[in-house]
Amino acid sequence: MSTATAAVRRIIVYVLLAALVVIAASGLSGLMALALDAGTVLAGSRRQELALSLAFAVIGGPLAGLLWWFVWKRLADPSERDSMGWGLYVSGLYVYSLITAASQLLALAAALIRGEARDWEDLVAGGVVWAALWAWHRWMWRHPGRGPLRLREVPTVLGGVYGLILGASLAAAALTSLFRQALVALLDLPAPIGEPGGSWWSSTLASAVWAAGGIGIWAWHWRREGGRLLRTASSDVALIMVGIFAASVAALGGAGTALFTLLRLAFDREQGDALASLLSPLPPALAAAGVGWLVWAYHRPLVHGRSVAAQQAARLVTSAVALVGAASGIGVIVNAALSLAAPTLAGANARTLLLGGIASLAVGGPVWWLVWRPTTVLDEPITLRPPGRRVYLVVIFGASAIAALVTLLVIGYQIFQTVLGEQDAPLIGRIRAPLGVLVATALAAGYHFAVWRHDRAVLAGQLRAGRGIDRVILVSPSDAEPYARAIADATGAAVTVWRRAAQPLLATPVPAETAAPEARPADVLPPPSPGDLLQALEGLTARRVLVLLGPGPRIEAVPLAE
Amino acid sequence: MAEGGERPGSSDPRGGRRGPGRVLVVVLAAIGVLVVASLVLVLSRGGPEPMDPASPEGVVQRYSQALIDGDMASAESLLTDRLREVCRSSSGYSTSPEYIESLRIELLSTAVREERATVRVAVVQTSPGGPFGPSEYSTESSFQLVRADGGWRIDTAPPMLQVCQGKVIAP
Repeated sequence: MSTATAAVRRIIVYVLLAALVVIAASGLSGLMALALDAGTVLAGSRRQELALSLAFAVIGGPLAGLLWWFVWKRLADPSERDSMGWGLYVSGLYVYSLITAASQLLALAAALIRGEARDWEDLVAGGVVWAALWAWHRWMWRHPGRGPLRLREVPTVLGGVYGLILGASLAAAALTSLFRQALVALLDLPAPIGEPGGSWWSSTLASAVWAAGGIGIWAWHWRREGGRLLRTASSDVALIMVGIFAASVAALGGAGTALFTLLRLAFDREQGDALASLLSPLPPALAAAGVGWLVWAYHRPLVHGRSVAAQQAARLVTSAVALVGAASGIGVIVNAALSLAAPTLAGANARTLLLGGIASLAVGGPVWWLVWRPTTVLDEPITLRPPGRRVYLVVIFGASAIAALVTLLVIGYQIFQTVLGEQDAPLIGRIRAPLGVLVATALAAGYHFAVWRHDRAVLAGQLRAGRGIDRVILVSPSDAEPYARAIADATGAAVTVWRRAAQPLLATPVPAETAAPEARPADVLPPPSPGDLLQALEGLTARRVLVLLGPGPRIEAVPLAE
Repeated sequence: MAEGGERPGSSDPRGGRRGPGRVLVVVLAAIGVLVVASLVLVLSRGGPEPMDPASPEGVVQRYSQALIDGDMASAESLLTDRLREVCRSSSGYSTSPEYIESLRIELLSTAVREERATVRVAVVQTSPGGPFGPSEYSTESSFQLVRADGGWRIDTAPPMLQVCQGKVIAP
């Protein structure tokens, strides 16, 4: 069978298997819920539901079993095990059943705490069936003889990400309601209205149960399934996107809002303003800041054990979040100052807006300074690979260009409206918001443009100095890792390692200048140090270089034509 | 945290770091001037400056201020009899005090035609929060006023600034 046919067959088989398994599971959980619910129906009947569940279970179940049996038999073949389809199927169903089972069981626990467990039969049935499905797929995923060989780490990574997001966001929700209650008790405020389901502690506890479930799922995948030991690209991406990026957005956003609320409390409080409405953003802001900071602080040190690219990405992502916060703070400050130009008839003046801008700038600015370290960032070595910083600068220009284009269009539209007599309201009042964004964008883009020009000049200098090697093919007899790293660090080139076959090289003529004067075989001499290798590369101007290492101390660096 | 000051005075053999450093100083100075100037400007201005109470915009100002202060009786005294009747017969819908408190009313323009006047305003709502600071939402709207008993009275008000929004109206 050709590979194309096999690929199509696998797609069809695994999609069909996934659909049948899901159908059978929903049929089984429906039947189980009906069995648990027997006797509570006062009038009417649930025969329609019964018919549907029966059809799903009776038709879906045996067909799923049959197809699975065929698939499982075939998986003894290593090429089948190595297929992308099998990896996708196991990862997909594993994550789907994990999410479904966890949400049903946690919803059941939360409902029991709130004392409103009306639909407990559905939740129990769904939770049990999907948990069994999850256990079954975990067994297949970890099966020593037939588990998938592709995408092996995906269930670990995605399960951990799901658990972390669920745990962190629900922990923030629980803390929010706890802080809100503490504020009410502390300041003797009127109790918050619109809290359904009885007392505040039951809803706090329900959120806490969800959070505990999420943290449990994360801990299982992170520790038990070895998520923290993974060093693949997908695990790096998950770590940086959730543990660093999302966490820093939550932490900085929460801290900014909390500071804004406190500033308003200190400088923007007029008599008669209700304290409760002024303080209402404070509890969620504190909860988001606390949980975000905790997640960020846990993941930040872990980045050090990862690839250079991941380390760069983690720093640049935090720097970008802080930069956006600081820049939007500047935009809001400009907006607030210009709002004085419009005559105000009544209501809050621009003070609220100004304090908001100052809060964003006061949080984003220092964090950007600490992460980007503008006093020393220019002394850091600039490498071609990984290209993190250059990509970051280009992304900042791109975002600045888009922001500038949009704000210029809005400003132009308002100016033309005024010129053409369509609008009689003061122009400055209508363009102050886009003008603020434009000023902030210009400041950010101006600085980063200077950094980009500096980097480009340094890189050009390196290229002129003969460090323009882009790619090195290293032919090495033994462990090539120290050599490859030395080349990559010194030149920034991508290194491809080809291992020599382990043959006696007695017939190979040894170049006269490197041959030892005494008649010892070359193999016995110690291998060259990485420093010797770099010396051999010194002064080469080609983009691609072939390096032959060994036997013994022999080094030959061959510049290749373009 | 200490990394920022590790090599503060390190010289640059490549001679290329002066540019970004100078730009950074300029940017920081611009931000500093901006923040200080805005603080001085905004904090030195107190509340809104009172308009001539006999003018149409003065009436709108008194009405809006009364509404924001929750003084419904004063606000209602600035309406025409017609609007007061409409208010009483309508059930209205309630607006939260948080919404009213977050409003700012800006004057856009006034047009007077003998017995009628139109005052155009921007109703600006500031909403706190969001990950990147507070945001403003501005809606343009207008008041229609008519001349009555030697002064101006409001005949139609923007929907979000109506006194009869489910609030208690004196019988």
